[in-house]
Amino acid sequence: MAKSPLHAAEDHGHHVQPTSMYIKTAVILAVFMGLTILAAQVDFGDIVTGGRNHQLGYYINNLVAVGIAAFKAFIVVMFFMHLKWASSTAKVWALMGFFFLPVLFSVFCDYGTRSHEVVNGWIPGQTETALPRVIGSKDQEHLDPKFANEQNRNPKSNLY
Amino acid sequence: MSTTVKTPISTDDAAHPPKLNYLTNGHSLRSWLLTEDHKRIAILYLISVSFFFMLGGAFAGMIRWELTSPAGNFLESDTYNRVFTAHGAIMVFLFLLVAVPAVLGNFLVPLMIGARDLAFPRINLLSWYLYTAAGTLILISVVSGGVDAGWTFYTPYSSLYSNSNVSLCLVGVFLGGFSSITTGVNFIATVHRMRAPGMTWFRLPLFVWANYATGIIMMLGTPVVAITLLCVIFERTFQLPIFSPELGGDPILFQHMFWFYSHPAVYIMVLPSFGVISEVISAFSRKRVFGYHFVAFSSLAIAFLGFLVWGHHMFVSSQSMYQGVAFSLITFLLAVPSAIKIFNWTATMAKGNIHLNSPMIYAIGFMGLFLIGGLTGLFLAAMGLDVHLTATYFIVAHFHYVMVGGTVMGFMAGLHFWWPKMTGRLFNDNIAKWNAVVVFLGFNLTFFPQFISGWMGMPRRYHYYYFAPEYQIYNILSTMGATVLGVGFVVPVIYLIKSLFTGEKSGDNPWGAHGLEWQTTSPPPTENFYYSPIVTDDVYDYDPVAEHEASRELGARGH
Amino acid sequence: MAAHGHADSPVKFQYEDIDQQNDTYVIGMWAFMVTEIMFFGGLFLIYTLYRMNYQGDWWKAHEHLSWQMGGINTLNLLVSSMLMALAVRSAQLKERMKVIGLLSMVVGCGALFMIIKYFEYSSKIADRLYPGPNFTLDPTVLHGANLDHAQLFYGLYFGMTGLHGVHVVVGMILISMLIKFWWQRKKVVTEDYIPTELIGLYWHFVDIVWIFLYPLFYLMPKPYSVIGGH
Repeated sequence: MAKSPLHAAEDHGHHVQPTSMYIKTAVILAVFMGLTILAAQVDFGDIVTGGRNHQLGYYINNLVAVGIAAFKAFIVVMFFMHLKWASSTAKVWALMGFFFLPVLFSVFCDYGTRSHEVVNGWIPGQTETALPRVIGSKDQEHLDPKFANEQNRNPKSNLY
Repeated sequence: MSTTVKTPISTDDAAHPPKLNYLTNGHSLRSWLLTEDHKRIAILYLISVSFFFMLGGAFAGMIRWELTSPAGNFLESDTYNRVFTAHGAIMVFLFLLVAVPAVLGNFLVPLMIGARDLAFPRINLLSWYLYTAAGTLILISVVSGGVDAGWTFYTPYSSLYSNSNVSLCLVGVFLGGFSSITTGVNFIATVHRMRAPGMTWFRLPLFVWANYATGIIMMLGTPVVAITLLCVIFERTFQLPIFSPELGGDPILFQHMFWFYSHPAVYIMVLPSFGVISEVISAFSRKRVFGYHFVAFSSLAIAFLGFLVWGHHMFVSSQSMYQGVAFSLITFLLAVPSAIKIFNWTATMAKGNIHLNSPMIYAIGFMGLFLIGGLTGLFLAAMGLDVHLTATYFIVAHFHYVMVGGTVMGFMAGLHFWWPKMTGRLFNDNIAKWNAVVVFLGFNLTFFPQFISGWMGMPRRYHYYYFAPEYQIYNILSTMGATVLGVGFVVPVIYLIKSLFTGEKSGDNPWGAHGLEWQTTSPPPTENFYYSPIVTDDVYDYDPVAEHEASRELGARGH
Repeated sequence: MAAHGHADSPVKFQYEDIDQQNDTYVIGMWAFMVTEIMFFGGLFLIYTLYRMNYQGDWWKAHEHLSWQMGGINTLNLLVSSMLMALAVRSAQLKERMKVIGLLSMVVGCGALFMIIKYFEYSSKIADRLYPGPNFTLDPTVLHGANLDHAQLFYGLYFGMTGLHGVHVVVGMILISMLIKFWWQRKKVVTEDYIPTELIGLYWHFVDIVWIFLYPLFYLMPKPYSVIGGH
C-alpha cells in the first residue's frame, strides 16, 4: 500500500497519538502518585491552621487526597481513554458519570443534620438530639442521668 | 403519507406476494434463540413478561383470598410473607421494569427513528438472556421455600436474620438489573447515533423521548441497587459486615441506597407508558400532541428530578427531619412535569377527532387512574400525612394506581395499538373495547376500597386484621374487584392469540396513524425498511385529507 | 470506505459506515462506564459514611495494610494502563506483533497485581483479619482499634478490593481473548481497532478505580482524635 499505516489510520478520521504522549502521561501519573503518598504524611492541621484545628486539617488532607486522585483519573480519561478526541456526546456521557456520583452522596445531608434535630429526651424535661440511645446496655450503667444529653448514645456507634 | 419512504410491497397487494418479514425469516428454534433482530427479541420478551405477569397475578390472588377474612385462616404469617414478597419481586423486577421498555421499546424505537436495528443487537439478546436467568433464579427461590423479607429486602432482617432464600433471589434481581442496564445503554446509543437522515431530535416521536429518558434512569440508578443488593449478599454469604448494626453499621444506609434506585425505578416503569399514551392519544385524536416540546422535556425532567426524592419512602425511618422536608418539597416539585403531560394530553384530545378504539380506551383510562394515583402521591409527599398513612393500605392503593392503572394500562394500550404492526393481524376490537372497560371497572373496585381501609388504618403486609373487623367489607370489595381484574387480563390473551390464527390481515397502517413505523409493512421485514427513510415532515403531522381517508378506512372495517 | 451489509466487512448492517459504527461503540462503552462508576460509587458512599464516623478506629485498623505493596500495585496498574494505551495505538496502526507483545505485558501486569493481592490477602487471613466469628481479638494486630469498627473496615476492604480484583480478572480474560484473536488474525480485530480500544477503555477504568482505592485504604491521614490523643 502506498500510504504508511499512520496515514491510512489518519484517513479513517481518528488521530494516532505519538508514543511519547502516552509515556509523558504515565510519568505525570507516577509523579502525582508520589505526591499523594507525601501528602498523606503531612499534617495539614499544623500547616494550615497552625496546630489549632486538627479536625479541619484532617478534612483538608482528605480533600487533597481525593483531589489528586480525581486529577489522575481526569488525566487517564482524557489521554489514555482518548476522550479528548471523542465526540461531544461521548464527553457528555463520561462527565455525566463523574458528576452524578455526588448526587448519590447527598445521602450525607441526612447524617449531617441528625445531630441538629431536637427531640424530647428520655429524661422528662430534657431535650436531646435525634440520635437514639441503647436502653439497658451494660455500657450505660456508669452513666449518670444528670448528663443524659451528652452520654446517652450508643458507645459502639457514632451513627446511632 | 408524509415521508419519502417508498414501500414497494404492501401485504394487501395480492399480485406481489409478500417478501419475508421478521416472523417468517427463519423458523428454527435456533433462529429465534440466537436472533439479533430487535423485533424477535421483543417478542421473546413479550412471552417471558406475560408468563411472569400471570405468575405475579396468581400470588396477588392468594393475597386477596387471604385478606377476605379478618382471622386470615388460609395462610400462615410466614407463608403470607413469602407470598407478598413473591408478588412484589416478580411484579416489580420481572414485569413492570421490563414490560414497556423491553417489549414495546425494543420493537419500536429503531422503527420510529428509521434505523435498521438497535445499536448493539447482540447486547440486546444478552439482555434477554440475563432477564431470563434473573426470572429463573427468582422463580427457583420462590418455589424452593420462598423469600420472606419483602421485595424491599430491608436490613438487618434480610442480611442477618432471615432464614429464607434471600441470596438466591438477590442474585436473580442483580442479573435483572444488568439486563436493565444493557437495555438502557442500547437505547441511549441508538437514539444518539442511529436516527435516519432528517430525523432531528424534535421530530422524534414522544415514545422515543420517553425511552431515552428511561434509558438514562436505567443507567444511572440500577448500578446503585446492584451494589446494595450485592452488599447484602456479601453479608449473608461471605460474612462481610456492611449494614450490621451490632458492629456499628447502619441499616438505614441500605434503605437510602435501595430507594436511591427504587424511586427512579418507578419512573423507569411509568415513563415508557407515558410515551405510549402520547402516541395513542395523538393517533386516536388525529391531532399532533399539544406542547410537544413540553412533553419531551418533562420526560427528561422526571428522569433527573426522580433521583432527588428517594427519601419520601423513608420519612419514618429515623432519617433526619430536615432531610425529610427537603425530600417532601422536591417530591411536590416532581408532580409538575407529570401534570404537564396530563394537561397536554387533555389539550391534544380537545377538538380532536376522537376514535374510541381499544387503545384509546386504555389510554383514557390511564389518564384518569394515573391522575388519582399521582394526586394521592402528593398526599403521601406531605410528611405529616405520611406519618399517619405509611405502611397502610393507602400506600398500597397509591402505588397500584400508578403502577397498574398507569404502567399496565399503558402496556395494554401499546400492545393493542401496535399489535397489528407486530403481527400483521387485527384482533377483534369490539371485545377489546369491552375488555378495556372491564379492566378499568375491575381495577377501581379492587383498589379504591384500599384507599379507604388504608385511611382507616389497615396496615399492609399483615395477613390478619381480627383486631379491626371493620376493614373486612373493603377487603371483600377489593377481592371481588381483583377477580374482575383477573378476568380482564386473561381475556386479551385469548383474543390476541386467536387473532394470530384467524385475524384478518392488517395492512401497513390500519389505524391511520403517523410515524415511521407505520410506513413499513406489517409485520416489518427483518431490516425494518426496504429503503432508507428520509424524514422531511414534522412529527404527528396529521393533515385533514389523510385523516379523512383513515376514518374512511376504519369505518370500512366496521370500527 | 467499507459498505454496509457486506458479510465480511467490519461495518454491521445497521450502520451506514465505519465512523458511525465506531462512534456509537464508543458512546455505548462510555455509557457502560457510567454504570460502573455508579456501581463502585455505592461502595465509596458506604466507605465515606463509616470512615467519617469511625475515623480513629479505621486509621488504627488500616495500619496493618502495607502502603508499599499497595504502591507497587498502583505503579503496576499505571504501567499496564500505559502499555494498554500503546497497544491500542499499535492496533490503530495495524502492527500485529507489537499489539500482541504489549497486550501480553498488560496481562502480565494484571497477573502481578493478583499475585501481590494474594500475598496481601493471605497475610490478613493468617492474622485472622477476615470478618466473621474468627475475627481476631488481638489488639496489637488491630493497633488498638475498636473490634467492631475494625470488622467494618475489613469488611469494606475485602469487599471493595475484592470486587476490584474480580474486575481485574475479567479484564485479563478479555485481553487474553483479544490476544488470541490477534494471533489468529481474526478480521474482527485486524480490520478495525475499535474492539481493542473498547477493551482498553475497560482496563483503564479498572486502573481509575484503583487510583481512588489506593489513597482511601492505604494512605489514610492521621485523624485529629488520634493526634489529639483522646
